[in-house]
Amino acid sequence: MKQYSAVIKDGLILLAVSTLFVTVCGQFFKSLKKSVATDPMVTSVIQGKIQGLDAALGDKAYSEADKKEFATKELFQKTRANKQDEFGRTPLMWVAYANLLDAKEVGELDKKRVAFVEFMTKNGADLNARDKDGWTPLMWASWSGLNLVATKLVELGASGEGADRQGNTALTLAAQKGQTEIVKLLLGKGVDKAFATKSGKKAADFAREGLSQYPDKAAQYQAIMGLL
Amino acid sequence: MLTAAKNYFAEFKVLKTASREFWLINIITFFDMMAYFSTVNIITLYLTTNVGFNDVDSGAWVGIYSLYVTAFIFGVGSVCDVIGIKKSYYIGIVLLIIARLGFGLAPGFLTGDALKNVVIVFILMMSLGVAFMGPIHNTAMRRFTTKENRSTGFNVYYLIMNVGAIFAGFAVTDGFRNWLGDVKGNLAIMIFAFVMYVICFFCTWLINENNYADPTERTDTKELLKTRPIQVFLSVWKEKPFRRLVLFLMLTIGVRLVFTHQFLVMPKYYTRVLYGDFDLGLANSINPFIIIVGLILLIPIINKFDTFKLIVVGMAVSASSLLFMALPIQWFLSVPGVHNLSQAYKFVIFAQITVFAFGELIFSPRFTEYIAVVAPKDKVASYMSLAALPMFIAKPINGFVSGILVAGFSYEGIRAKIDSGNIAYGDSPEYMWAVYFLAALVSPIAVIAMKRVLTASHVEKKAADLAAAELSET
Repeated sequence: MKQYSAVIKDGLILLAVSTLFVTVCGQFFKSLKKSVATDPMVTSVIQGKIQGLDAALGDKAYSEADKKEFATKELFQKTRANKQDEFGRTPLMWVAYANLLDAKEVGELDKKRVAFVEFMTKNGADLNARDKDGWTPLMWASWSGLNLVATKLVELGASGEGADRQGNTALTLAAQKGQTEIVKLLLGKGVDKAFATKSGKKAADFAREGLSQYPDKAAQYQAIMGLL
Repeated sequence: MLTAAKNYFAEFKVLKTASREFWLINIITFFDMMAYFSTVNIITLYLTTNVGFNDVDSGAWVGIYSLYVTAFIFGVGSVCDVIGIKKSYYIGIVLLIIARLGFGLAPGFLTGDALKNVVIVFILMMSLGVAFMGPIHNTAMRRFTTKENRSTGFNVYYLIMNVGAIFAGFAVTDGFRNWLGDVKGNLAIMIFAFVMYVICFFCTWLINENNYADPTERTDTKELLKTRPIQVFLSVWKEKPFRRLVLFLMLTIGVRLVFTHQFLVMPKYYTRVLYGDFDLGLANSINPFIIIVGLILLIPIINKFDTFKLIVVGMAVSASSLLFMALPIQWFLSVPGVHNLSQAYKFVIFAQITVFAFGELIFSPRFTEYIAVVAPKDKVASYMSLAALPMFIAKPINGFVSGILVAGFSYEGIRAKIDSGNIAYGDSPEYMWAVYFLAALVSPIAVIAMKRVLTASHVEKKAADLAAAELSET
């Protein structure tokens, strides 16, 4: 063992220097950008674990919360369910978001996420909350192509009207992405199909653009153009 | 080209007489690389998706991991020489087995801060394990090859490393993620890595470490412990050539860090500007594939040129690769065959990977050569081992910076905002790459500007050679 002591000593020095170095670096970079820890509810949504939402909003979580701030469990749940991240997104927006190419995967995710929408709204999530760009959960679902989630949001009272800071609406986003079912849903709810974005484009213009850009989704875009 | 390929493989004939141990080391290397690259391909995604770290923290922890790997390599290098190949492998492999199994299983049992803390412990264990594996592969290759077949042996070793990296990408990473989705796929990749190390463990068990290919190379292990890392550093840091080397290495950090972006930044960039189920493993397989083809076909041609020029040209090519990703993405919609943003992003990604790999192929092998030229003859090994110092400092900083940049410019959901026109250039992933491009561009420019200082040893060496030649003539 004695023969190793010098090397172990050097190893410990290197370890200490490394740790000190990363600690200083960490403090410096943290002072540059205040990072917000990921909401465990968002992690649960991504992982598809609904019990994670229950843990964040349930009795145990409330018992550990500051009672001065949250006089009632309902207030705690409502505040918690609408907690925004640094881009203003609420957990419900994360429920309504997916960025997948494979239609089968999107379909499977869509089915699973419906229960999340129900759970979140039951616990006070704002259906018409807006992120920093002005997107609502329904706009996220429209872009993501989560048909069942969008349907559930509309059923529960989410508004299809309203635009983001560029003038995009749930309808223009759905038309742009070739989400035929969501376009049908929104038109069925009577949203304004003549509404134009700041760049002067209407939903039909986005569908026409999509048709030329994504020939593999021609059927969807043609169907949307027919609806509009 | 065909002749170059034939010549490359013709060399392998000398390995006919190589021992079983030589091939076992190559098998271990292959499985180790499969496990290593499949893990690093997804490590930032794993930390975010499966563990719950935000982008800043996941980048930071990968940076810290790489810092500890470098720190531990300094420390364990001489320990490996003394305790022997088998024990070193056992220690490294057992640490990696525990870490990978932990990564794979912990998210199923723990949540929140408890999970994060446990994963941090596994990250540190993995860094120590990786630190053991690197030096011991090299030592083993040396021990199980003779002077005659050593260079070919190392060529095979390098080839197998890259083949492992290729398979780890398109086969393992994409295979599991496409099969099980990103969340379960990441965990399955960790379990796969665990299985790889179990196989490595059994291969190690079969090694006879006393089967020296060249018995004259047996050394007194007690003597080896006298070379202590900090002592080595203290003995050379005052030397002018060493300071010159450090200057050179510092200047080239910008470009050399581009390689680390492949694991720190690219996975999140790919899956966010394209789609979550993008074949990121395939993208990460392109680099080692080009390196293999290039090694076989281009190296004999490239080697005819001057080292310093090759370093500058190679670095300039590598740095310029980032320009593709730094330009406004809409510009690429005018490229023939590119009709939409997804195709534009795929175009810039493929262009960056290809151009960078060519640059790397030109400059990377010349680095070692440069160090050997700068170092005094009796201190080449010390200079080589300390050449990692600037990267030791740069890697964690790069980890922190990458985390901040990804969180600000390549966050989850950004593609939706790009599609809808909510992202100006200053908020876009392209802006992030512009920052990296400028940092990388500093390297070739600074090296050209400092050419006189950096090549002083070359001049001195040439003068000495000339004087020696004149002396022998008289």
